[in-house]
Amino acid sequence: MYGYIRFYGDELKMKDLRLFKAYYCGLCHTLKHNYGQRGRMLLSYDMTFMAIFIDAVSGEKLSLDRLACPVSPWKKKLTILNSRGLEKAAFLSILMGYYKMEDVWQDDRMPLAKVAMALYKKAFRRTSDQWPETAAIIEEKLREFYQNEKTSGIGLDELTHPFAELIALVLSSDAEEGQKDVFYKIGYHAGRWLYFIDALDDLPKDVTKGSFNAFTATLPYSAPTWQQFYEAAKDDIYANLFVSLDEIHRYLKFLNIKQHRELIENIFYLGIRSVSELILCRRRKGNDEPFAEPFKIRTTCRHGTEQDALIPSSDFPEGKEASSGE
Amino acid sequence: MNEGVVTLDTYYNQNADIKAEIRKCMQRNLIDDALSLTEQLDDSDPDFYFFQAWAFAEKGWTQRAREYARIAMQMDNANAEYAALWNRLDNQAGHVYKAQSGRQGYGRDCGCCEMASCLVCSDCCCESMGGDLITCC
Repeated sequence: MYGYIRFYGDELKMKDLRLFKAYYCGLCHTLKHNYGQRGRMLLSYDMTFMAIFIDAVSGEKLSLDRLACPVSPWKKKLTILNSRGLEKAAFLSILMGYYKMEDVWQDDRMPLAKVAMALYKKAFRRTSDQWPETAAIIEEKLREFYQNEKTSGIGLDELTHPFAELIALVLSSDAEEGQKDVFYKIGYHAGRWLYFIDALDDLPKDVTKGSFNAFTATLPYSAPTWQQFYEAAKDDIYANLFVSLDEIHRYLKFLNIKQHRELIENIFYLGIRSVSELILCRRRKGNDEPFAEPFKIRTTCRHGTEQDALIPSSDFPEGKEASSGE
Repeated sequence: MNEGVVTLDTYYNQNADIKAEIRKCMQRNLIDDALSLTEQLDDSDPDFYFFQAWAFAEKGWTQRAREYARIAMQMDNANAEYAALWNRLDNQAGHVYKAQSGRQGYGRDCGCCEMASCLVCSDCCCESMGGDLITCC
Protein backbone atom coordinates (compact mmCIF):
# COMPACT_ATOMS: atom_id res chain seq x y z
CA MET A 1 0.00 0.00 0.00
CA TYR A 2 2.96 2.29 -0.48
CA GLY A 3 3.94 4.63 -3.26
CA TYR A 4 0.55 5.92 -4.35
CA ILE A 5 0.67 9.33 -2.68
CA ARG A 6 2.69 11.52 -5.03
CA PHE A 7 3.09 15.16 -5.84
CA TYR A 8 2.40 16.39 -9.39
CA GLY A 9 5.69 17.85 -10.62
CA ASP A 10 4.34 19.76 -13.62
CA GLU A 11 2.34 22.08 -11.38
CA LEU A 12 4.68 22.16 -8.42
CA LYS A 13 6.60 25.32 -7.57
CA MET A 14 10.33 24.96 -6.99
CA LYS A 15 9.94 26.10 -3.39
CA ASP A 16 7.46 23.27 -2.76
CA LEU A 17 9.67 20.72 -4.49
CA ARG A 18 12.57 21.78 -2.23
CA LEU A 19 10.21 21.57 0.77
CA PHE A 20 9.11 18.05 -0.17
CA LYS A 21 12.69 16.92 -0.66
CA ALA A 22 13.67 18.47 2.67
CA TYR A 23 10.89 16.52 4.38
CA TYR A 24 11.88 13.33 2.55
CA CYS A 25 15.46 13.74 3.73
CA GLY A 26 14.18 14.71 7.16
CA LEU A 27 12.15 11.51 7.43
CA CYS A 28 15.16 9.48 6.37
CA HIS A 29 17.28 11.10 9.10
CA THR A 30 14.57 10.73 11.71
CA LEU A 31 14.21 7.03 10.90
CA LYS A 32 17.95 6.57 11.24
CA HIS A 33 18.23 8.64 14.42
CA ASN A 34 15.32 6.91 16.19
CA TYR A 35 15.53 3.37 14.83
CA GLY A 36 19.00 2.87 13.34
CA GLN A 37 20.22 2.55 9.76
CA ARG A 38 17.70 -0.20 8.99
CA GLY A 39 14.92 2.25 9.79
CA ARG A 40 15.83 4.08 6.59
CA MET A 41 14.79 1.05 4.54
CA LEU A 42 11.15 1.89 5.38
CA LEU A 43 11.32 5.42 3.94
CA SER A 44 8.33 6.19 1.72
CA TYR A 45 6.62 9.08 -0.06
CA ASP A 46 3.36 8.29 1.73
CA MET A 47 4.82 8.81 5.18
CA THR A 48 6.63 11.92 3.93
CA PHE A 49 3.22 13.30 3.03
CA MET A 50 1.94 12.30 6.49
CA ALA A 51 4.74 14.34 8.09
CA ILE A 52 4.01 17.34 5.87
CA PHE A 53 0.30 17.13 6.63
CA ILE A 54 0.77 16.90 10.41
CA ASP A 55 3.14 19.90 10.43
CA ALA A 56 0.88 21.84 8.05
CA VAL A 57 -1.95 21.72 10.56
CA SER A 58 0.15 22.15 13.68
CA GLY A 59 1.99 25.15 12.21
CA GLU A 60 5.17 24.04 13.97
CA LYS A 61 8.14 26.25 13.11
CA LEU A 62 10.64 24.22 11.12
CA SER A 63 14.36 23.97 11.70
CA LEU A 64 16.58 23.06 8.77
CA ASP A 65 20.17 22.06 8.18
CA ARG A 66 22.30 20.61 5.43
CA LEU A 67 23.20 17.03 6.27
CA ALA A 68 25.22 14.28 4.58
CA CYS A 69 23.29 11.82 2.47
CA PRO A 70 24.42 8.18 2.05
CA VAL A 71 22.87 8.01 -1.44
CA SER A 72 24.72 11.08 -2.73
CA PRO A 73 27.70 11.54 -0.37
CA TRP A 74 29.29 14.31 -2.48
CA LYS A 75 26.51 16.78 -1.70
CA LYS A 76 24.81 17.69 1.57
CA LYS A 77 21.04 17.86 1.45
CA LEU A 78 18.67 20.44 2.90
CA THR A 79 16.89 18.54 5.67
CA ILE A 80 14.11 19.37 8.08
CA LEU A 81 14.92 18.41 11.63
CA ASN A 82 12.98 17.47 14.72
CA SER A 83 9.39 18.16 13.74
CA ARG A 84 6.48 16.37 15.36
CA GLY A 85 5.26 15.38 11.91
CA LEU A 86 8.55 13.63 11.15
CA GLU A 87 8.59 11.88 14.55
CA LYS A 88 5.05 10.61 14.00
CA ALA A 89 5.71 9.59 10.39
CA ALA A 90 8.85 7.67 11.38
CA PHE A 91 6.93 5.95 14.20
CA LEU A 92 4.15 4.93 11.77
CA SER A 93 6.65 3.74 9.14
CA ILE A 94 8.18 1.27 11.59
CA LEU A 95 4.89 0.10 13.10
CA MET A 96 2.99 -0.41 9.87
CA GLY A 97 6.03 -1.88 8.14
CA TYR A 98 6.51 -4.41 10.93
CA TYR A 99 2.85 -5.51 10.97
CA LYS A 100 2.94 -5.87 7.19
CA MET A 101 5.99 -8.14 7.45
CA GLU A 102 4.19 -10.17 10.13
CA ASP A 103 1.12 -10.54 7.93
CA VAL A 104 3.20 -11.62 4.91
CA TRP A 105 4.97 -14.22 7.09
CA GLN A 106 1.69 -15.57 8.48
CA ASP A 107 0.01 -15.75 5.06
CA ASP A 108 2.76 -16.68 2.65
CA ARG A 109 5.54 -18.00 4.92
CA MET A 110 8.00 -15.92 2.90
CA PRO A 111 11.46 -16.37 4.51
CA LEU A 112 12.41 -12.77 3.69
CA ALA A 113 9.49 -11.57 5.80
CA LYS A 114 10.70 -13.59 8.79
CA VAL A 115 14.21 -12.21 8.41
CA ALA A 116 12.82 -8.68 8.13
CA MET A 117 10.76 -9.17 11.31
CA ALA A 118 13.88 -10.21 13.21
CA LEU A 119 15.76 -7.17 11.90
CA TYR A 120 13.04 -4.74 12.94
CA LYS A 121 12.00 -6.33 16.24
CA LYS A 122 14.03 -3.90 18.34
CA ALA A 123 12.80 -0.85 16.43
CA PHE A 124 9.24 -2.14 16.75
CA ARG A 125 9.55 -2.51 20.53
CA ARG A 126 10.83 1.06 20.71
CA THR A 127 7.65 2.39 19.09
CA SER A 128 5.56 0.96 21.93
CA ASP A 129 7.56 3.11 24.38
CA GLN A 130 7.17 6.30 22.35
CA TRP A 131 3.40 6.53 21.92
CA PRO A 132 1.98 3.49 23.72
CA GLU A 133 -1.72 4.40 23.27
CA THR A 134 -1.36 5.07 19.56
CA ALA A 135 0.71 1.91 19.14
CA ALA A 136 -2.03 -0.08 20.88
CA ILE A 137 -4.75 1.38 18.61
CA ILE A 138 -2.67 0.60 15.53
CA GLU A 139 -2.06 -2.97 16.68
CA GLU A 140 -5.76 -3.54 17.40
CA LYS A 141 -6.94 -2.07 14.11
CA LEU A 142 -4.30 -3.80 11.96
CA ARG A 143 -5.00 -7.20 13.53
CA GLU A 144 -8.72 -6.65 12.92
CA PHE A 145 -7.97 -5.58 9.36
CA TYR A 146 -5.80 -8.60 8.56
CA GLN A 147 -8.37 -10.89 10.20
CA ASN A 148 -11.13 -9.36 8.03
CA GLU A 149 -9.16 -10.25 4.93
CA LYS A 150 -9.39 -13.90 5.97
CA THR A 151 -13.16 -13.69 6.68
CA SER A 152 -15.43 -14.84 3.86
CA GLY A 153 -18.75 -13.19 3.08
CA ILE A 154 -17.63 -9.80 4.38
CA GLY A 155 -18.72 -6.59 2.64
CA LEU A 156 -16.30 -4.12 1.04
CA ASP A 157 -17.04 -1.42 3.62
CA GLU A 158 -16.69 -3.74 6.62
CA LEU A 159 -13.43 -5.04 5.16
CA THR A 160 -11.96 -1.57 4.74
CA HIS A 161 -13.31 -0.10 7.99
CA PRO A 162 -10.45 -1.06 10.40
CA PHE A 163 -7.72 0.27 8.11
CA ALA A 164 -9.64 3.47 7.34
CA GLU A 165 -10.36 3.96 11.03
CA LEU A 166 -6.69 3.41 11.88
CA ILE A 167 -5.63 6.26 9.59
CA ALA A 168 -8.48 8.40 10.94
CA LEU A 169 -7.55 7.81 14.60
CA VAL A 170 -3.82 8.37 14.01
CA LEU A 171 -4.45 11.66 12.20
CA SER A 172 -7.03 12.91 14.68
CA SER A 173 -5.01 11.95 17.77
CA ASP A 174 -2.92 15.14 17.59
CA ALA A 175 -5.69 17.42 16.35
CA GLU A 176 -7.01 20.42 18.27
CA GLU A 177 -10.33 19.77 19.97
CA GLY A 178 -12.50 21.61 17.43
CA GLN A 179 -10.83 19.88 14.47
CA LYS A 180 -10.84 16.26 15.60
CA ASP A 181 -14.00 15.35 13.66
CA VAL A 182 -12.68 16.92 10.47
CA PHE A 183 -9.34 15.10 10.82
CA TYR A 184 -11.19 11.85 11.46
CA LYS A 185 -13.28 12.15 8.29
CA ILE A 186 -10.29 13.10 6.14
CA GLY A 187 -8.20 10.26 7.55
CA TYR A 188 -11.06 7.77 7.15
CA HIS A 189 -11.56 8.52 3.47
CA ALA A 190 -7.81 8.75 2.83
CA GLY A 191 -7.51 5.24 4.28
CA ARG A 192 -10.32 4.02 2.04
CA TRP A 193 -8.79 5.55 -1.08
CA LEU A 194 -5.37 4.07 -0.27
CA TYR A 195 -6.78 0.58 0.25
CA PHE A 196 -8.89 0.70 -2.92
CA ILE A 197 -6.16 2.06 -5.19
CA ASP A 198 -3.84 -0.68 -3.93
CA ALA A 199 -6.52 -3.32 -4.58
CA LEU A 200 -7.10 -1.97 -8.10
CA ASP A 201 -3.39 -1.87 -8.82
CA ASP A 202 -2.99 -5.47 -7.61
CA LEU A 203 -6.14 -6.76 -9.34
CA PRO A 204 -4.41 -8.47 -12.32
CA LYS A 205 -1.71 -10.08 -10.17
CA ASP A 206 -4.17 -11.23 -7.47
CA VAL A 207 -6.64 -12.78 -9.94
CA THR A 208 -3.83 -14.52 -11.85
CA LYS A 209 -2.26 -15.95 -8.69
CA GLY A 210 -5.56 -16.60 -6.89
CA SER A 211 -4.54 -14.25 -4.07
CA PHE A 212 -6.89 -12.19 -1.91
CA ASN A 213 -8.19 -9.00 -3.50
CA ALA A 214 -10.62 -6.63 -1.80
CA PHE A 215 -12.77 -6.21 -4.91
CA THR A 216 -12.98 -9.83 -6.07
CA ALA A 217 -13.64 -10.99 -2.49
CA THR A 218 -16.55 -8.62 -1.84
CA LEU A 219 -18.22 -7.39 -5.03
CA PRO A 220 -21.03 -9.56 -6.48
CA TYR A 221 -19.36 -10.26 -9.82
CA SER A 222 -17.46 -13.30 -10.98
CA ALA A 223 -15.47 -13.64 -14.17
CA PRO A 224 -12.75 -15.96 -15.47
CA THR A 225 -10.27 -13.16 -16.17
CA TRP A 226 -9.40 -9.93 -14.36
CA GLN A 227 -10.29 -7.89 -17.46
CA GLN A 228 -13.83 -9.27 -17.44
CA PHE A 229 -14.14 -8.77 -13.71
CA TYR A 230 -13.01 -5.16 -14.06
CA GLU A 231 -15.51 -4.58 -16.87
CA ALA A 232 -18.33 -5.81 -14.62
CA ALA A 233 -17.17 -4.00 -11.47
CA LYS A 234 -15.75 -0.78 -12.89
CA ASP A 235 -18.66 1.47 -11.81
CA ASP A 236 -18.42 0.27 -8.21
CA ILE A 237 -14.62 0.57 -8.19
CA TYR A 238 -14.68 4.06 -9.69
CA ALA A 239 -17.42 5.26 -7.32
CA ASN A 240 -15.67 3.96 -4.20
CA LEU A 241 -12.41 5.66 -5.21
CA PHE A 242 -13.84 9.02 -6.20
CA VAL A 243 -16.58 9.37 -3.59
CA SER A 244 -13.79 9.17 -0.99
CA LEU A 245 -11.88 11.91 -2.82
CA ASP A 246 -15.07 14.04 -2.91
CA GLU A 247 -15.44 13.57 0.84
CA ILE A 248 -11.81 14.50 1.56
CA HIS A 249 -12.32 17.66 -0.52
CA ARG A 250 -15.54 18.38 1.41
CA TYR A 251 -13.78 18.26 4.78
CA LEU A 252 -10.47 19.77 3.71
CA LYS A 253 -12.23 23.12 3.38
CA PHE A 254 -12.84 23.10 7.14
CA LEU A 255 -9.27 22.30 8.07
CA ASN A 256 -7.14 25.07 9.50
CA ILE A 257 -3.97 24.57 7.40
CA LYS A 258 -1.33 26.92 8.76
CA GLN A 259 1.54 26.17 6.35
CA HIS A 260 2.51 24.08 3.27
CA ARG A 261 -0.98 24.59 1.80
CA GLU A 262 0.18 24.68 -1.85
CA LEU A 263 2.17 21.47 -1.47
CA ILE A 264 -0.73 19.69 0.27
CA GLU A 265 -3.14 20.83 -2.44
CA ASN A 266 -0.73 19.75 -5.19
CA ILE A 267 -0.44 16.28 -3.69
CA PHE A 268 -4.14 15.87 -3.01
CA TYR A 269 -5.79 17.53 -6.01
CA LEU A 270 -3.21 16.73 -8.66
CA GLY A 271 -0.88 13.94 -7.56
CA ILE A 272 -3.55 11.64 -6.19
CA ARG A 273 -5.82 12.33 -9.15
CA SER A 274 -3.08 11.50 -11.66
CA VAL A 275 -2.24 8.24 -9.86
CA SER A 276 -5.95 7.27 -9.74
CA GLU A 277 -6.51 8.04 -13.40
CA LEU A 278 -3.34 6.33 -14.56
CA ILE A 279 -4.19 3.07 -12.80
CA LEU A 280 -7.86 3.24 -13.88
CA CYS A 281 -6.77 3.90 -17.45
CA ARG A 282 -4.42 0.93 -17.48
CA ARG A 283 -7.05 -1.44 -16.11
CA ARG A 284 -9.70 -0.11 -18.51
CA LYS A 285 -7.38 -0.87 -21.41
CA GLY A 286 -6.58 -4.35 -20.13
CA ASN A 287 -3.04 -3.34 -19.22
CA ASP A 288 -1.85 -5.28 -16.17
CA GLU A 289 1.28 -3.21 -15.47
CA PRO A 290 1.45 -2.29 -11.78
CA PHE A 291 2.00 1.31 -10.71
CA ALA A 292 4.26 0.41 -7.82
CA GLU A 293 5.90 -2.83 -6.79
CA PRO A 294 5.97 -3.95 -3.17
CA PHE A 295 9.14 -4.20 -1.09
CA LYS A 296 11.06 -1.70 -3.21
CA ILE A 297 12.74 0.83 -0.98
CA ARG A 298 12.24 3.63 -3.47
CA THR A 299 9.33 3.25 -5.85
CA THR A 300 10.10 3.94 -9.46
CA CYS A 301 8.31 6.68 -11.28
CA ARG A 302 6.69 4.83 -14.11
CA HIS A 303 5.68 7.04 -16.97
CA GLY A 304 2.55 5.61 -18.49
CA THR A 305 2.17 5.64 -22.21
CA GLU A 306 -1.56 6.29 -22.24
CA GLN A 307 -2.41 9.64 -23.79
CA ASP A 308 -5.59 10.13 -21.83
CA ALA A 309 -4.07 9.86 -18.35
CA LEU A 310 -1.86 12.69 -17.24
CA ILE A 311 0.98 11.49 -15.10
CA PRO A 312 3.40 13.09 -12.71
CA SER A 313 6.50 14.53 -14.31
CA SER A 314 10.01 13.25 -13.71
CA ASP A 315 10.71 15.51 -10.72
CA PHE A 316 10.61 12.73 -8.13
CA PRO A 317 13.36 12.62 -5.52
CA GLU A 318 14.41 9.08 -6.37
CA GLY A 319 17.97 9.12 -5.20
CA LYS A 320 18.89 11.33 -8.13
CA GLU A 321 18.23 14.74 -6.67
CA ALA A 322 17.74 17.39 -9.34
CA SER A 323 20.22 20.18 -8.84
CA SER A 324 17.85 23.03 -8.26
CA GLY A 325 19.82 25.66 -6.49
CA GLU A 326 19.20 24.58 -2.90
CA MET B 1 -65.08 -1.37 10.99
CA ASN B 2 -61.95 -3.47 11.47
CA GLU B 3 -59.96 -2.26 14.42
CA GLY B 4 -56.20 -2.82 14.53
CA VAL B 5 -55.78 -2.68 10.73
CA VAL B 6 -53.07 -0.27 9.76
CA THR B 7 -53.91 1.63 6.61
CA LEU B 8 -51.34 3.26 4.41
CA ASP B 9 -52.32 6.66 5.77
CA THR B 10 -51.89 5.41 9.33
CA TYR B 11 -48.47 3.97 8.54
CA TYR B 12 -47.27 7.22 7.01
CA ASN B 13 -48.65 9.33 9.86
CA GLN B 14 -47.03 7.12 12.49
CA ASN B 15 -43.71 7.12 10.74
CA ALA B 16 -43.62 10.82 9.88
CA ASP B 17 -42.25 11.48 13.36
CA ILE B 18 -39.61 8.78 13.00
CA LYS B 19 -38.54 10.16 9.63
CA ALA B 20 -38.36 13.69 11.03
CA GLU B 21 -36.22 12.35 13.87
CA ILE B 22 -33.93 10.55 11.42
CA ARG B 23 -33.43 13.79 9.50
CA LYS B 24 -32.58 15.63 12.73
CA CYS B 25 -30.03 12.94 13.64
CA MET B 26 -28.44 13.22 10.20
CA GLN B 27 -28.21 17.00 10.50
CA ARG B 28 -26.51 16.59 13.89
CA ASN B 29 -24.13 13.94 12.46
CA LEU B 30 -25.58 11.24 14.79
CA ILE B 31 -25.26 8.56 12.13
CA ASP B 32 -25.57 5.49 14.33
CA ASP B 33 -28.72 6.87 15.95
CA ALA B 34 -30.19 7.54 12.50
CA LEU B 35 -29.40 3.98 11.42
CA SER B 36 -31.11 2.58 14.52
CA LEU B 37 -34.23 4.67 13.87
CA THR B 38 -34.47 3.50 10.23
CA GLU B 39 -34.86 -0.07 11.51
CA GLN B 40 -38.32 1.00 12.71
CA LEU B 41 -39.45 1.68 9.15
CA ASP B 42 -40.99 -0.97 6.94
CA ASP B 43 -38.74 -2.32 4.22
CA SER B 44 -41.53 -1.91 1.67
CA ASP B 45 -41.17 1.85 2.19
CA PRO B 46 -38.55 3.33 -0.19
CA ASP B 47 -37.65 5.85 2.52
CA PHE B 48 -36.23 2.95 4.53
CA TYR B 49 -33.62 2.37 1.79
CA PHE B 50 -33.09 6.09 1.22
CA PHE B 51 -32.33 6.83 4.87
CA GLN B 52 -30.08 3.77 5.12
CA ALA B 53 -28.21 4.92 1.99
CA TRP B 54 -27.88 8.48 3.30
CA ALA B 55 -26.61 7.32 6.69
CA PHE B 56 -24.08 4.89 5.22
CA ALA B 57 -22.89 7.56 2.78
CA GLU B 58 -22.23 9.93 5.70
CA LYS B 59 -20.53 7.12 7.61
CA GLY B 60 -18.21 6.63 4.63
CA TRP B 61 -19.56 3.20 3.67
CA THR B 62 -19.98 4.02 0.00
CA GLN B 63 -20.64 0.52 -1.33
CA ARG B 64 -23.43 -0.17 1.17
CA ALA B 65 -24.86 3.30 0.46
CA ARG B 66 -24.87 2.57 -3.29
CA GLU B 67 -26.74 -0.72 -2.77
CA TYR B 68 -29.49 0.94 -0.72
CA ALA B 69 -29.68 4.03 -2.93
CA ARG B 70 -30.10 1.82 -5.99
CA ILE B 71 -33.06 0.03 -4.37
CA ALA B 72 -34.68 3.33 -3.35
CA MET B 73 -34.34 4.57 -6.94
CA GLN B 74 -35.83 1.36 -8.34
CA MET B 75 -38.83 1.74 -5.99
CA ASP B 76 -39.40 5.42 -6.71
CA ASN B 77 -37.26 6.90 -9.48
CA ALA B 78 -39.26 10.15 -9.56
CA ASN B 79 -38.13 11.19 -6.08
CA ALA B 80 -35.68 14.08 -6.41
CA GLU B 81 -33.97 13.37 -3.08
CA TYR B 82 -33.30 9.78 -4.02
CA ALA B 83 -31.98 10.85 -7.43
CA ALA B 84 -29.68 13.44 -5.88
CA LEU B 85 -28.19 10.90 -3.47
CA TRP B 86 -27.77 8.32 -6.22
CA ASN B 87 -26.07 10.89 -8.46
CA ARG B 88 -23.65 11.77 -5.66
CA LEU B 89 -22.75 8.10 -5.31
CA ASP B 90 -22.68 7.20 -9.00
CA ASN B 91 -22.75 9.51 -12.07
CA GLN B 92 -21.50 12.52 -10.16
CA ALA B 93 -18.89 10.65 -8.09
CA GLY B 94 -15.71 12.69 -8.13
CA HIS B 95 -17.25 15.68 -9.93
CA VAL B 96 -16.70 18.13 -7.08
CA TYR B 97 -13.15 16.84 -6.48
CA LYS B 98 -12.30 16.94 -10.20
CA ALA B 99 -13.70 20.45 -10.59
CA GLN B 100 -11.39 21.68 -7.83
CA SER B 101 -8.53 19.66 -9.29
CA GLY B 102 -9.11 21.38 -12.65
CA ARG B 103 -9.00 24.78 -10.98
CA GLN B 104 -5.67 23.76 -9.42
CA GLY B 105 -4.24 23.10 -12.88
CA TYR B 106 -4.91 19.43 -13.65
CA GLY B 107 -5.16 18.83 -17.40
CA ARG B 108 -3.69 22.20 -18.31
CA ASP B 109 -1.44 22.35 -21.33
CA CYS B 110 2.27 22.82 -20.87
CA GLY B 111 2.81 26.36 -19.61
CA CYS B 112 5.64 26.96 -22.05
CA CYS B 113 3.47 26.07 -25.03
CA GLU B 114 0.72 28.36 -23.80
CA MET B 115 3.19 31.16 -23.25
CA ALA B 116 4.75 30.78 -26.70
CA SER B 117 1.30 30.69 -28.34
CA CYS B 118 0.26 33.83 -26.49
CA LEU B 119 3.43 35.65 -27.51
CA VAL B 120 3.02 34.74 -31.18
CA CYS B 121 -0.63 35.83 -31.18
CA SER B 122 0.17 39.04 -29.32
CA ASP B 123 2.97 39.85 -31.74
CA CYS B 124 0.67 39.27 -34.73
CA CYS B 125 -2.08 41.45 -33.25
CA CYS B 126 0.43 44.15 -32.43
CA GLU B 127 1.92 44.12 -35.94
CA SER B 128 -1.55 44.27 -37.54
CA MET B 129 -2.10 47.51 -35.68
CA GLY B 130 1.19 49.04 -36.71
CA GLY B 131 3.33 48.03 -33.78
CA ASP B 132 5.85 45.21 -33.23
CA LEU B 133 5.85 43.37 -29.92
CA ILE B 134 8.71 41.04 -30.75
CA THR B 135 11.05 42.80 -33.18
CA CYS B 136 13.05 39.74 -34.17
CA CYS B 137 10.10 37.90 -35.72
